[in-house]
Amino acid sequence: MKISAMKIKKTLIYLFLAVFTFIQIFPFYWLVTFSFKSNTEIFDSNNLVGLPKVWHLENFSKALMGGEILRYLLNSVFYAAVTVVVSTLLASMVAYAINRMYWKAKGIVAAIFSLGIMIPVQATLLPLFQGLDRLGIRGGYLGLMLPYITFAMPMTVMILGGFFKALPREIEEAACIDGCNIFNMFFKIILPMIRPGIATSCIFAFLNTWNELLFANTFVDDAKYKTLPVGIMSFVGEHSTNWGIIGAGMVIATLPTVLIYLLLSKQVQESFTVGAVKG
Amino acid sequence: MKKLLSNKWYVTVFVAPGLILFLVMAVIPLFTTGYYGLFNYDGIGQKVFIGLKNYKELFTTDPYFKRAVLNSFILAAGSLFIQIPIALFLAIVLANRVKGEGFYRTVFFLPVVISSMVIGQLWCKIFNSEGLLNAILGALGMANDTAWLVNPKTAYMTTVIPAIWQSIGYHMVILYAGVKNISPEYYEAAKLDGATGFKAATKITIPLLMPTIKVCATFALVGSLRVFDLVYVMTGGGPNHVSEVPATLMYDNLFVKCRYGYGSAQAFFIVFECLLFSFLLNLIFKKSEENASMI
Amino acid sequence: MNKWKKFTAACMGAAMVGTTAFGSSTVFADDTVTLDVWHQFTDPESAQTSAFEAAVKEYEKEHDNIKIKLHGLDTESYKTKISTEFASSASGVDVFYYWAPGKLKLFTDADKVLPLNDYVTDDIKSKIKEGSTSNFELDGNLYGLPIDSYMMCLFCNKDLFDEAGVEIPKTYDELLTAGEALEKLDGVTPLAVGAKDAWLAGALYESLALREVGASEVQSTLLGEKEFTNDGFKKAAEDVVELYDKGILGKSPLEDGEAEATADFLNGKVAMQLDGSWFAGTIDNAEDSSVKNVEVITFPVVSDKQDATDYAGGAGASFFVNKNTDTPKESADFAMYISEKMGEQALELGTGFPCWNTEIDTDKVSPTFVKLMDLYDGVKTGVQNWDGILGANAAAVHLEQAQSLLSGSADVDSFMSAHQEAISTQE
Repeated sequence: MKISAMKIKKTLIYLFLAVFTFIQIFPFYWLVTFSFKSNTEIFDSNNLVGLPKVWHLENFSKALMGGEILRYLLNSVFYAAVTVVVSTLLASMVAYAINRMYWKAKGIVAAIFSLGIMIPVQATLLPLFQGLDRLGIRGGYLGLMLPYITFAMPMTVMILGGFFKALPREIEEAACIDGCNIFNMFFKIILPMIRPGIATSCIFAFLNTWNELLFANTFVDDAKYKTLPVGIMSFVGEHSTNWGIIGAGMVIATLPTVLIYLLLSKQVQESFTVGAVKG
Repeated sequence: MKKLLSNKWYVTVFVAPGLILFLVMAVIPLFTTGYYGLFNYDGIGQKVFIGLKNYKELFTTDPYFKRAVLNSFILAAGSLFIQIPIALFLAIVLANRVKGEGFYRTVFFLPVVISSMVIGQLWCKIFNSEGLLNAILGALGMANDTAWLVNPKTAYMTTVIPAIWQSIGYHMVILYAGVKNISPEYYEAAKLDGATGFKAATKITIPLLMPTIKVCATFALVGSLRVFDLVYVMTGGGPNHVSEVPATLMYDNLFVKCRYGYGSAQAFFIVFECLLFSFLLNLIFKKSEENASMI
Repeated sequence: MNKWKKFTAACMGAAMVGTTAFGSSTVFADDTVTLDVWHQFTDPESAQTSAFEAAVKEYEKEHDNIKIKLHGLDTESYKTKISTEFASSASGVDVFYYWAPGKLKLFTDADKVLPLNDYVTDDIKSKIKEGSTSNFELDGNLYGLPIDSYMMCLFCNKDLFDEAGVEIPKTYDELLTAGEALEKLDGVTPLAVGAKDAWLAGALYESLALREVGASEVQSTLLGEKEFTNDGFKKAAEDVVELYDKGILGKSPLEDGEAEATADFLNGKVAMQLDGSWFAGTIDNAEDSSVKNVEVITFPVVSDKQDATDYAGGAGASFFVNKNTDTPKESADFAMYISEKMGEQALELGTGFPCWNTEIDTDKVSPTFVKLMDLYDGVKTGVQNWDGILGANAAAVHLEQAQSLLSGSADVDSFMSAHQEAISTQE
């Protein structure tokens, strides 16, 4: 009796997962077919799900060869890598101080950082632009990187907060008895313990930087420093646009994200066993 | 240990670098926006100080703003009560070692990775009068030629559904990591008490997950109140402004209508509104977080 | 444990690369002038882009002491970028592409644009077609030279007209008759507007208002010299509603933008499409078009007696000079050069009709565009798209009102009053 009830429940869950898989994979399938089509097929209202009638493979070669997409891709990798590393470092320290250290202003600092997820970025575009101008760092790598790091921090602070909170106090006490200094304790004991949290927040920091368009359009003056999304959008013409090429560019831009996600979420998945060992 | 963790110098070293960067790059621009909101300013010429007049217009004569705020509330409710529960369910199921866990986790996240521009285009095709939705309805014998996107009754809902759907994977990932972070000891103890499966989820996982759920709820709430991308791509606030949200109105004022001062006031309002609601959310979650610490 | 050392080292390294890369700027000989030129010709697929880049190279060749630094973004991003630049110091902008007179007026009012009065010689003037500089003259100053004129037209799929047994319309009444006949064909939209793109919804209304009111009256109303009260403006709005009600614009015209309308046209499902002259190039360049027989007309007149010399279009976009440039003379010279150069090639590029006296080699012009040239010979007075003439706020009101006429719940009276208010409160 009991077993068959379990079986039904399991079947239901797998059925649900299957249906959901179909729904979630559909946009990606659509984007891929889109990237092989011509405008007349993409915008044909009667043909949503079909495969391309003619496979326009050249969309991909054009996307890769036209302009300097490869250079922009490398730039994007660079921006994203630095943003992820620096913002995670700074934000994890802030989050640790807010959640584990004893000081008066922590409530205020936490509130200030939470402002970061509330600001409508379009409105800060001009003030930030003027600020970067005044600081003399507008137009180079730094002028885009600093805003990226800044706007990646609040989310990381908030996500990691929950993970720091969940740590038992005994860990720090044990470290203290061993005579560990605070930096050693933080970097060698605490941070490794919240690996799933760090991996998760890195995923989002990466994603936000990788797909960002508004800042990248406005804070960069020189083609040398442009990012991949800006490069893809440059295929939009004044009067006519070959959207298949843009689709191809987006497929190319999506692949690294999926790769990074696979890598980082593996860290989250494995954390269970890590936890068990340390426990 | 407490002495070590209350050392002012250490606190400064941990907090200052991040905080200073954040103050300079985010808080100062935010207050500059607030400052611009007090002016009649076209974004390029002279600024004329008009005090709180922009805010007065916002709350009294602006014909679209109230509707826009209400619209964002609808999305916020949908995100909190539909999106997060689904994400939570998926996170718990996946964290309990389903076969093919890695595959599902990746596939479920895909919509988050794809640019909103593409997602918006796709849903436009689904909701088109000759699109997928009407084709399915037709096949089910409910033939329909509604143009969902441009019908004033349905236009806003066509953006809410994709917005709720797109971020499920996003919250799933955060919650999944939270579940994974729960020490197995808790479950072992529960097992001895006979709690497994669903029971373990409600008794242990969800209470212990409360801090993470709170983070997700805050993200979902704030994300809804300042939603922009999908609405802008799909309906642009139309027809006749019925599907506007505060951020689309703000964008129009800032960059299309050249009413920079007014748009800034709207931006400042959005921040204020987000602060207020996340404060309320905090109060609601305080209780459950206390419960969590009891386990 | 060494991980974190590597980690911090990586951060430091990254930060240093950032700073050095930023700090480096190429040093030129003392007398070399570098001009920062902002544009939106970015699409590597477009012939316009290569023509633009070639013209710049040629200029550099002719001027040893001048180096042109190009900065391009796609149109929408470009608009945001330029307004942000000029809201700030615009220190990195010497020459920039922009739209006149509507959008430019905000800039000239704030005294951000250099008048070219002193730089335009009689020699240059003699090369420009008469009357094509009017959009660039604001408050008695000439701020830029025109490039080319565009013209809004109806592109007709002749085979569908034959199938429906109707003629290509010359008058509004014929448009109604033809539209009703075409509407009965299966899956065919008689007149596709692409009104999801607001400017095209505007263009439909504007085409009718042009016929009902007349070009010079429209122009002076938009510039605020007259009130928006002419009965023709109201009649034009009613015409749009009539077209909508008769199903001539398709079931729900607001659903589709220019891209969708174009795809439908090329798939042979649209009898007429309202679009700019550049659409000729789109038709001729499409590889998988199923339309064999294209005819182009200007918008039908509203009465038999009316002559059709008014047209929707004109020269609106060009290159301008930042008033705060360190190099006004060089910048002005380049702005004039590139306007002329792009203008001369307009026909070959299929963007529009040159505002410059130039020799035309019709062999290089695409076949549909050749048909347009005949039409263009027959027109005199143009009014460009209203959102290019009106101030920012009035333009936005105009476009959303034009869209509302196509929403199925049109209200012509509120359409009129919204326009009256928006146009009278400009500036």
